[in-house]
Amino acid sequence: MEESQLLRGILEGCVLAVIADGETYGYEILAKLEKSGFEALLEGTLYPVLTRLEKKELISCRKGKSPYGPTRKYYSITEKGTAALHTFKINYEKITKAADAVLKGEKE
Amino acid sequence: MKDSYIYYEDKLGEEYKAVFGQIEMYVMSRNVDEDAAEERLGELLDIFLIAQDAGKPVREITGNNLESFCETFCSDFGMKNGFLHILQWMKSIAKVLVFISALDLFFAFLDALETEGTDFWNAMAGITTFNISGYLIGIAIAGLFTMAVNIVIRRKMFKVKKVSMKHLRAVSCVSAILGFLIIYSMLSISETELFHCPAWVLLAVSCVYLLLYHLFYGRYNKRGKIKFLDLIEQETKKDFPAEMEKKFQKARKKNLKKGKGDLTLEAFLDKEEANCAKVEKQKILFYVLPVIAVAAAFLFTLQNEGFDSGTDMAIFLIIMLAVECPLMRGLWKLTSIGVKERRSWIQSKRSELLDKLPIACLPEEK
Repeated sequence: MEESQLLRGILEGCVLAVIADGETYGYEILAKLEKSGFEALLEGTLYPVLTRLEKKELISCRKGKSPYGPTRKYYSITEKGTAALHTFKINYEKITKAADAVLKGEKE
Repeated sequence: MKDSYIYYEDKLGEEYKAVFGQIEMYVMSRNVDEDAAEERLGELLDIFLIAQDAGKPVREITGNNLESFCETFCSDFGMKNGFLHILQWMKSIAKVLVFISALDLFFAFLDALETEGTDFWNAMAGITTFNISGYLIGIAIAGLFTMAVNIVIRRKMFKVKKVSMKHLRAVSCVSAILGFLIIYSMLSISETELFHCPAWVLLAVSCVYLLLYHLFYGRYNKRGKIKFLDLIEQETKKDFPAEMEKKFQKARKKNLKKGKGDLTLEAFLDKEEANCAKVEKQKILFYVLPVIAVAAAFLFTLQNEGFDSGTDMAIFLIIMLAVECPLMRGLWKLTSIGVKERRSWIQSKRSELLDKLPIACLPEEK
């Protein structure tokens, strides 16, 4: 199974977790994800995720001026987003626990 | 406040600029509303500037497959963006319709008033009709033609080598002109009586559309929109240094060919500065020429008995001046943008030359 398919399933939750740490913007989100080990994550992938989260009202955004000049969008998590993140973490733990059990069972 | 990303594009280095230009072209060829495109490209430009500052190659941001990056980058532009884009396009059409129908109505009204026994309301209602069917068919064909061109641009732009942004912009301009020609020819050809409508109806519908557009959408989205002349200024700035360098090299080759010896940069800068001064002195012509042209046209028409009354003469003068003066003023503004960029380039080159001089050659500070 390709890495991108697995990534698609968890990226929204991970992006939400990064935003939950504090108000942030696109490049910073990408840098934090890359630092955590998400390799080869491209900017093009991030924006559709941010748009989906905004449409679902899990994050809100405000426009500010970047030090470089263009307008920059700053994202912060909403109450709905905090609840969704909590649900994601529970589901993620459940799934990874089950997957671990299956994969370890296969090894044995 | 300069909000549009266009103001900051020239901060990108060559590598980033080339890639950003391709992505920009891809986004513009999609059916997406101007505000969403502007916002998304602004965010991308910010990221490019940060990454450039950090010394990262552009492919680290976009990956090696730029086409795939663009597709993902635009994957969330949905039907709403497409619908808003169509509304924006129709706004431009409505403005043209207001102008054409108002002009049509005005002249028909004048003709009708000259007819004995016609009152104001008879002159306004049903005297002149507009070939709406031709116009609508023309718009539909032009729209489909533009969509087809955009699809071809998107498919070809990453596959055809040595295609620069200039080529793609030229294709877009040609397709826009052909689109208008299609509308015009359909307007002339179609004679279906069923779809003619009074010009005042067309004027009213167009005005209502523009008003509703402004009230519900336009008013909240004017921030960050770059004005037309500012856009021209920014576009001129982008390619200007490279064009001036080319001009200098061409002038040098010409000089050598004529046996005049090598043209130094200083001599070239002096010549360009003299040209700028010459153009600036011609400013007065841009204001005087329209008046002279209108006066000449007026006298010619008068001599050939082209006017039936004093009213005709007054209308002729008003329309001619109303068209000529803003046109010449606009032309002067465009010319002065070119002169401003030229002077700025000359200044930067002179500073570079001064920096290169050995310290002993610099003038002593008093």
